[in-house]
Amino acid sequence: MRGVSGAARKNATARVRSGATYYIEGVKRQTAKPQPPEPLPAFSEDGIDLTLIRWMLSLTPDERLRHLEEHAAFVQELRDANPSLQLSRHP
Amino acid sequence: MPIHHFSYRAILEALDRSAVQHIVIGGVCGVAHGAPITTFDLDLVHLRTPENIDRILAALAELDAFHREPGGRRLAPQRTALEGAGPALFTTTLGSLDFMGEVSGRDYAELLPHTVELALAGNLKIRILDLDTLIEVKSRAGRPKDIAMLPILRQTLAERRRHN
Repeated sequence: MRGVSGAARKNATARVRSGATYYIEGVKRQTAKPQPPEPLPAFSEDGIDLTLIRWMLSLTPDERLRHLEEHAAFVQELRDANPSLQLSRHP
Repeated sequence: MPIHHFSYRAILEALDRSAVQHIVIGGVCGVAHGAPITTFDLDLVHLRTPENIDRILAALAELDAFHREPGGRRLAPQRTALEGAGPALFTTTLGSLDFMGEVSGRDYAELLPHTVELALAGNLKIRILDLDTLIEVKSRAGRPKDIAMLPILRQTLAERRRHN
């Protein structure tokens, strides 16, 4: 290494180390297992059940309407079975 | 045995058979957008031309409709009730059906640019308010029942945006 100063040698070594580190980090990034996504919250801050909204959004508009009709009929059945609500025949 | 049968779809099919020009608003609109809510009536804004009111009256006759009013009177649908801005409330064999001439001061023509068309099974197409406008209309209405629905509608909108 005649003619190469100590400082230059140090700089060259540092560059090689830096490059190696950069390469190793890249390999690590490529081979690392993907992190699972952050779990989605089940409720909003104001208490809305977000799981129910996500379920509704997974349905087609036809399916949403069908569920609504079934649910409305069931709620009406409950109301009809409750003697204290017998006065009103209108929904 | 339930007294009322709910088939919003069958009502919409009857309106479609009579070629009624209308926009679905209210709870059914919210449900079509994916909001997990329950409603007991189908709310519509209709075009208030004489021809369209003729078509509505034809559909109401098919649905054996009568005005929903206290006292249990079975008053047949009146044309004048559909000509104004206010609500015309009907009971039909398939559930309650409410027509509005205007909602938050906006009529059919003004709301039309803020709608989306949904293609349902059986080649049934319905026009509903877009979710942003539904939220706006409910906010402006300011009634307790409208305000109560707003948090669910807003979260539904947020989830839809996150999903997309």
